[in-house]
Amino acid sequence: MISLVATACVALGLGVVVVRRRSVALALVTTQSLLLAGVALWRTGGHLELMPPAGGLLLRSIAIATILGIGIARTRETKPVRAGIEPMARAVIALAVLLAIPALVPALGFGDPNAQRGAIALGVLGIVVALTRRATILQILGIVIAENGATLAALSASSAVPDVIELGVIFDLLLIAVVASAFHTRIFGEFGSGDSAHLRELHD
Amino acid sequence: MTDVLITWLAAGSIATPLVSALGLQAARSENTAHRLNRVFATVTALVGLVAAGAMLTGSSHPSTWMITDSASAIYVSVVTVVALMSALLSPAYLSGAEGRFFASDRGVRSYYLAFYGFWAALIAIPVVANLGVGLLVVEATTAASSVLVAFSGKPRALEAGWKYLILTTLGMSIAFLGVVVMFVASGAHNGGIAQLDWSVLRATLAQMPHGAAVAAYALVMLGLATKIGWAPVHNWLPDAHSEAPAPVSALLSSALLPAVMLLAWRLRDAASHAIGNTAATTPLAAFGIFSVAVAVPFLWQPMAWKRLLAYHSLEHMGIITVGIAIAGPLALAGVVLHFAGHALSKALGFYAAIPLYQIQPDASRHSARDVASSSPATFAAMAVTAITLAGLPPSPLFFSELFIILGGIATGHVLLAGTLAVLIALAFIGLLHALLEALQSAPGQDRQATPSVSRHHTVPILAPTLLIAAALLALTASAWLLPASEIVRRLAQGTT
Repeated sequence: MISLVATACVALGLGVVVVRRRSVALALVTTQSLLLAGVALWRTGGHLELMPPAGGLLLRSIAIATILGIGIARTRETKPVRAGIEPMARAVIALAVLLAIPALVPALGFGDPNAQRGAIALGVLGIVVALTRRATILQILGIVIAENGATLAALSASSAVPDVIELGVIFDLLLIAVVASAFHTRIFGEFGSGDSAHLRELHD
Repeated sequence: MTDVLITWLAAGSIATPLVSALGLQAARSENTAHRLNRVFATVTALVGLVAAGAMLTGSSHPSTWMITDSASAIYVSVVTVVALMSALLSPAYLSGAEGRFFASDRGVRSYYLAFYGFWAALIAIPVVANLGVGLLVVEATTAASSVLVAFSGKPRALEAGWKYLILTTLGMSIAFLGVVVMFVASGAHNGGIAQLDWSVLRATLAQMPHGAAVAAYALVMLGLATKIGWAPVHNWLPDAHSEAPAPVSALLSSALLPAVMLLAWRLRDAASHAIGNTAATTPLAAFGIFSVAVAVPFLWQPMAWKRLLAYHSLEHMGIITVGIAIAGPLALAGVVLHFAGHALSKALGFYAAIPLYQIQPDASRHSARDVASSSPATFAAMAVTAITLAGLPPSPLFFSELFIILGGIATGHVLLAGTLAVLIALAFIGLLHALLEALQSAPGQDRQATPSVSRHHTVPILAPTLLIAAALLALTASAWLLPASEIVRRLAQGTT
């Protein structure tokens, strides 16, 4: 099952690399996060003591979707923010990196090799999204995808990762999402667009 | 003093700034907030310094949640001193600044909320006994400090804050992936959070397959590198340090970078047994020397004062990292001295920017000129900073750099030490060039200089300059005692 979920999560992450609309990208990432939360809840087997991290993941997914959804609704772009790299080129870059992962990454002790590849792939896709997309909301989604990579890795590890770490990561990501959303709103207020290309004044 | 009491003091030094952050929200006016800030800062600093003193005299046995060894003591004391000075100078910055990132009626209180939250996290990083929790705290510093970087709400500050937020958070995501790999690959599924305790991490890594241990180490170290700002993942550093409010720039440079570096140091010590000392140390040496090399060309360019200091952060973090990589007693004495001397002098340099921008508003974008005639006190602060950072005797950094280079030669790292010596010499000339530029007048240049500004209307910088200059001289005087000191002996035994 974790293998299927890993494949689905990577496919959804690839979708974020190519889609144009922020709302579609948010829907894809939210689906990815909910999938992972669903796996976490399923793995608790109804045991209450295992619920906090799984419930935290579910709440995180809903909270981030809400925070960023409100951010998108409040900052309507007059035209879509174009990325510096065309969708096809972004897809090629992402696919090339994904295909290189099995050759570059050694066996890390994951029971399921697909889960390992999926976790690393999500980390890489998150970086690709954050660095190749110009819309600030999409850059925030890049962070969420990368964090979902760590979550997928943790879920494939048969409850090895302690609750303190899982809950701490969830809390930190929520905090970052709130702060990043505030930045997005301020950037939109200053430039009339959530396009990070406006932020290119600082250089030497 | 008992270990339990030391642990409670360490916990208190984290809790006090958090309480202060909340207490300051009760202030009904800006003036009240500034007055409360002075009280809270003093109390917080007292608790921090008492805790640091207790750690130095204690037995340094790690408890469940806290590690209170010599390294923690040194970091807590320096972070506390810099945070206190930044807190006391914050009203001077805030009185002449507009904070458009927050709603105008909450600007000052929001600044203090983020500031004291940042202070608490900075104290927590060196004393938290667990790698995983330490990384969580590091990520929390990003949330607090990024809004401080963007406090002015100006486009350049927004750019700097945004870049800092995105890049360092991505880095920490990579680090967390490394932490998960540690749990998965160590196979000890019932070990819980304690598997990542600094005192246990060595055994955890030893249980892992070699390839997995190397991969986990590389992922966490890469994540930490983005936060420390080691080249080539330093892209955010010059922007954030130059655009943040001056008291926050001081905290970023003098406290945050070295505190996160302590995590990298402890991780190296924990991993050197499992993956081999060469594999564990080479990345540190490479990051360190590359950071100094990348910084040097920028130190030669005419540049805005704070931006110049930011590139010096890159250089000096590189020097400290090379010292940690070398790891002999002499080099570690250099690391301790360099950390303290850099923190004090760099903080003073950023504080000097507060009156400097009052005298020359365009000095935020261009190199400062003719400061000596328009504000001798500001120039004195800049001169103390420049002389110290350049490593010109009697700067403590002269001795620390000497210790690190000689320590490298003594331990057989001749090429590394030689390369570092050449790069330091090049940086030295660059900084003196900047200082001379600040002395010169520029008759042909269109300036918004206001040399007639009364010294009564500028931020008092003379007192901090004299205090920090005295502290730097005291550091220099104590330099010769350090290599044979108990502190260095404990550090040489390892930080985990």
